[in-house]
Amino acid sequence: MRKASPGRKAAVLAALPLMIVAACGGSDDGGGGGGSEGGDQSDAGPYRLGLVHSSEGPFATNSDTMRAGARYAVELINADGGVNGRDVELVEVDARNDPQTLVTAIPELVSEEEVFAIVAPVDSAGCEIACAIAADLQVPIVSAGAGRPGVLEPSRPWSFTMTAPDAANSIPVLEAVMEQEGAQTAAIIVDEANATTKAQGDLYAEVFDGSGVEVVSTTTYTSGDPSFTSQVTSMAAENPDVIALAAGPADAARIAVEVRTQGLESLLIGTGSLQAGGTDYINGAGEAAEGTITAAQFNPDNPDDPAATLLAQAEEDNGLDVVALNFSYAFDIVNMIAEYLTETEATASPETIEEDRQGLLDYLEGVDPYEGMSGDVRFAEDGTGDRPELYAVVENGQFVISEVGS
Amino acid sequence: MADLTLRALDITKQFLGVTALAEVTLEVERGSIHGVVGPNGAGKTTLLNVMSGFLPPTDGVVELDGRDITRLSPQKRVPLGVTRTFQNLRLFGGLTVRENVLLGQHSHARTGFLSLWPLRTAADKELDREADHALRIFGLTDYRKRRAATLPYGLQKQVEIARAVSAKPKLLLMDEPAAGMTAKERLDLVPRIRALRDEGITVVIVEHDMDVIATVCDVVTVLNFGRKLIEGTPADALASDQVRTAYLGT
Amino acid sequence: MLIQQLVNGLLLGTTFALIALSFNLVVGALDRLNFALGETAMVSAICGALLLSRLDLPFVLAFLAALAVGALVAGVTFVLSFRFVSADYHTAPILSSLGVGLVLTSLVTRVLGSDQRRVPTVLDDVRIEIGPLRIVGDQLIILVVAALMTVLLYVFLNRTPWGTAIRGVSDDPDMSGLLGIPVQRVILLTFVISGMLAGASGLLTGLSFHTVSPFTGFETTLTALMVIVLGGLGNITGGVIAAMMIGVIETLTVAYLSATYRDLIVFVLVGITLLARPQGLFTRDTGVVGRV
Repeated sequence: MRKASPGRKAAVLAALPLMIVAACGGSDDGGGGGGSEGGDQSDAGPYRLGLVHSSEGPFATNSDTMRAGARYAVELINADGGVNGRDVELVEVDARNDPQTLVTAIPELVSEEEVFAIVAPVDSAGCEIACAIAADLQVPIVSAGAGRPGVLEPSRPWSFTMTAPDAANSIPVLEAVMEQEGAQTAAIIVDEANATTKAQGDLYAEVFDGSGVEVVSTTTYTSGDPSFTSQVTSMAAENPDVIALAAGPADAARIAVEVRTQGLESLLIGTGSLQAGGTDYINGAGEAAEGTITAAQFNPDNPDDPAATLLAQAEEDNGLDVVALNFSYAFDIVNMIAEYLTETEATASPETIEEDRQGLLDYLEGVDPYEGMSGDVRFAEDGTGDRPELYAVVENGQFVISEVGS
Repeated sequence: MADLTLRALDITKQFLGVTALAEVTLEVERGSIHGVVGPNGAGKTTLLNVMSGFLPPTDGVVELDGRDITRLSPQKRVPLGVTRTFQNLRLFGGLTVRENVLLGQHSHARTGFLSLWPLRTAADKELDREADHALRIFGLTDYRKRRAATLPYGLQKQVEIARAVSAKPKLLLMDEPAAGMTAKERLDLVPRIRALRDEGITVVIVEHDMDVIATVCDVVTVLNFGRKLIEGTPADALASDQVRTAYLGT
Repeated sequence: MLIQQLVNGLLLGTTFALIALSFNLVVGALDRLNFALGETAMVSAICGALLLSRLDLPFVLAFLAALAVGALVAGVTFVLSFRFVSADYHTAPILSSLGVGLVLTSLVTRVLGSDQRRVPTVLDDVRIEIGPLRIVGDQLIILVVAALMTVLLYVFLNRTPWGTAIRGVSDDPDMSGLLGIPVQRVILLTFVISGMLAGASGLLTGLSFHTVSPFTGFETTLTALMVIVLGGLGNITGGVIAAMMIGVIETLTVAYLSATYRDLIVFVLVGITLLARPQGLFTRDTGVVGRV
């Protein structure tokens, strides 16, 4: 184990007078210094949580959604009296999709802002870097979206992600879908320039292998390619029952339009990440997206409580038509941390913060399940989310979620 | 007083202190063909450049129909009726012969926003007719669709003159039109220049070749070392001892 | 399927040809490259796509709007990056127009967002089948409109006073000035027309690809550069042939090899061309008819 860096010690020393001032200030508003009951630490100032979002880059929209979910969680907690009588405060950093910013921002969050834990970037690339740095500083960090295989490897055991990796979630779901649809032949189109989508291509091969579907055509493109005419012509020659999209949502949308333009009636399928980026796909493809089936790990219409109640309330409070995956995941992250702090009455004070952080790790490892807005939350041993196996069908411009086998 | 189209009065032109022209006065009568001759370096082309606006004179005044145009650029002189040809060809090689001639009349063509209207108006047709007329004078009708660069040198010179003429100038300044022409082409040139004069164009020819000048010009000005040596009919000029000395050296 | 793929390639080439035509026009008029034309195409296409999808305008109107936007943007680019830049600094307009391109991209992302915009299908239920060949309605539109634009351009350049003036200016701007042709206005007009071509190319490409993205501007410029290098700088006919070649090569590579080789093969082809025939596969004509 690494020792605390000199910077951190300095920060702690520098912060001590502040703590004293804060304590004195606390006695002013009649808190009755020291006389509080078990859970009341209202003299200690707010619990501080870091949040790294990104106003630029391909995942800027997801990032905004994630931040909104975290903010909403904090709002509800504080309105309800906070945690152990203390407010929760989000310390936000805009990484602007720039790795260099992350490298300086995470240590700053820890040493200057003294955050207890961090909500990581939603995108896998940002999450990987942020988590590695946080792990170096021994601060728990949880992402509300990173799902690329192996994204947490450099930073375990300090890192978690709510998202189930595509493979774990999508393979069983899609195999079931293949069976359900009685598919015989399939074509795969892969974005070769992207690690995530290449992995999706392998995933489909496994799905079709597992469900006895013959792959009659595999075509490739590179991210952001303008035209898919050639690829779709190649696929059309084989007239497959199923076309599997190993593509980012925007590219997938254009493939879908080209498929329908060329008069192909094949079933379009996608992994869970296509549903996660669903707005881009549906807006981009319009009519052509209708009937597309994807694996899914989050149900915005979850009928079971407490998720149902939380979702309905979130929709109303935030004026949302539908609660997005990243929103609910971020909401649950903040609430799980709050629950841990409440249950253990951890103070996260400079003296105990290291111990308290370790405690949060143990808590997260142990949730079984945490019942939140996103349904039942569990983490697998590698820190990734253990999500329900769902699938989604695009109907009237919306993903409609069903459970496999239903 | 004679009816002058152009008057260049006391023109002096110095290049870095070297005097190319010294107080040369040229009075070009309306409807005349006026030759300017002299040995190489006599200042002929310099004088033509001053008259056409390519060079500002160091001193002196250029008047067109009595109006001072000394400070006007060549572009501004074109609409006033002064066009010129060049000693070295300056044709649009990639355009057809006819298009070259049409561009010559561009200062008269429709160039307002309405001119983007693709259909041809009566004015356009009039310009077309004039262009075709210019082509006919210079025997270019058969070549009108050829790309200018593909014509033999002598014909290209004809195209250049036709282009200068198509702007319907009052005054045409020709810089060594006969240079590079075959003997036959030179012979053809003479009646064509006369035809221009007959249409009311005043012509100034700067020429090295005394034969052409002697045949076609009404008046000849002889320059030597930037000074006017003599002015008169071609016969007078040729008879002058001074001219012989200047040309043959002493 | 090979024939179908060849047709796909030629259709892709058609859109390349328009944007290359747009570049070549400016090269002809000014011997300069306007590096903002790719972004000009993008801006026009985004405006056209918004009109189509948001306001449900008929395609013809959206197309005309794209032409207008392209013309406007190119005109502004001329004033900003070319008009007042001294001819002695050859690189200045390159850098300056590249800058205009960057500004255009960030303006679009700031004002309209960085989302891809959907271009709705225009002729939804038209599909022509000739033997094994299948051409869908929108491909037909692209083909017809591109051919129409090319013919109109040809007629304009060859049959109108302004067109002749453009060719004169591109042949010899100094002489044109001496003949009283308003050279700067002619060049502005050339930019405006090249902008219209870029706008047309942008929206037609969007129609072919079903979307337009605000980040494709420079990519378009690159493609156009490939085409005009291969076809011979300023050579219109060469540009069209090269565009078709690149379209077919790209399509066949994707269909029979792999998408990752596509750019590689085109780059290598262009590289070899530059080494072996720096003037391009088709030499620039000395004449303007070939150039413009």
